[in-house]
Amino acid sequence: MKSIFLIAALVGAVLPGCASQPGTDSHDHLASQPAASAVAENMDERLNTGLNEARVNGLSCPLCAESLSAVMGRVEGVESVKLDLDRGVVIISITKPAPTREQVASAIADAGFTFVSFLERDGG
Amino acid sequence: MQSSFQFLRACAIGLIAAASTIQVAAAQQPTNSPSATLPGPGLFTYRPMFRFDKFSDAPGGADGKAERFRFMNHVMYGVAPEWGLFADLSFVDRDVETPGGDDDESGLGDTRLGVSHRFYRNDFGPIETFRAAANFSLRMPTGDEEFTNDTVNPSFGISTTTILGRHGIGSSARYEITTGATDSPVDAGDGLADHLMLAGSHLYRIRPESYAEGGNVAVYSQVELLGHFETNGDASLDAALGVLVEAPRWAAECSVILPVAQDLDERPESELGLALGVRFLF
Repeated sequence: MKSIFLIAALVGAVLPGCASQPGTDSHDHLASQPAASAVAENMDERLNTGLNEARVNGLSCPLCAESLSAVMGRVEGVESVKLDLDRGVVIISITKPAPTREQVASAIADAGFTFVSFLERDGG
Repeated sequence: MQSSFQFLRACAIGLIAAASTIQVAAAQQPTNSPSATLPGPGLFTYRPMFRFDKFSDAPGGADGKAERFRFMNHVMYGVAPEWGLFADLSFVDRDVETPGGDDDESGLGDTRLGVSHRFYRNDFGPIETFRAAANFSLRMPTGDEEFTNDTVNPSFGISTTTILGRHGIGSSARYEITTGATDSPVDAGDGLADHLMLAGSHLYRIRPESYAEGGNVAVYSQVELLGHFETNGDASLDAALGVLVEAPRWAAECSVILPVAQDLDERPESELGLALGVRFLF
């Protein structure tokens, strides 16, 4: 009986310790992204039609990220959403009437993820 | 035993029918313990699961042995950002062999209705995140006579999910205030004793090493520790080993649950548990 409680106490002590490690942002991933650069944000500005990219944190798995596609798909002007989990980038195809940056950022937050910034596509 | 297979076959047909109508799946979390994952607002997650358990005693303290099949259904609906409502519903088939004869019973189990609130989220990298959720639920006495404890039992709990690169770490605790009892308790919380569940999990992404654009099938190994402690002195600790496979449109999971330590007077000792399930988001 005592051994059971001892093991349970160890589980309880170790796991919150692991969980509390992530206190700071890991910018190493973000700094190494070659394909795009961050754009100064004017959140009331409408997105350009065509492909836009947004940097998003917390896209922890293929299936979790599908939730993001479903929620963003409800925003008027969002034609399709593609995810690059490796870079933490959401690629959004926009048609007219284009949504504002704020609308897209809000949809990302509503889906349970953290919007970081919009990116300027090379050659775009 | 034949009725068990008929029951299993009926459940399988229902599951396949449900799967054929649903398009998208979700999400990364361990098989046997809660996590801090929620569907987005307006979205449902549905997790049907088959569970087999073998016991070395008969329920109710009688000599003998027992086997149980359950078809468990977990549905969660995102009502708002960071808020979800959930329901657990199960169908049970139980074979009990005692010196006095065999008994085969089937029916509905109790239903659990609850609300979950993710009160903390720190996405600190492209795939890295730490999330914590609190939940409150009521076990409703909807089960058939053999499988209900006849009263409404409230429970409250907390769970955390951490994703660090290829590692997923989960922890959870839930306390259930038990106000009624089944005639023959099988699981913790079935008898007239409060139930504390403590669980920890580690998922490791075996493949891919890193995600490529467009998404890949991800395969995870799972290790869980599941502790059950009751105020009547019963306590058990199980280890669960399993595999979770995720693709952009479906997920499948299997888990083997083995007892590590058991000190039980009021419910039968477990020999083995098997869980097999799928997940959908729609």
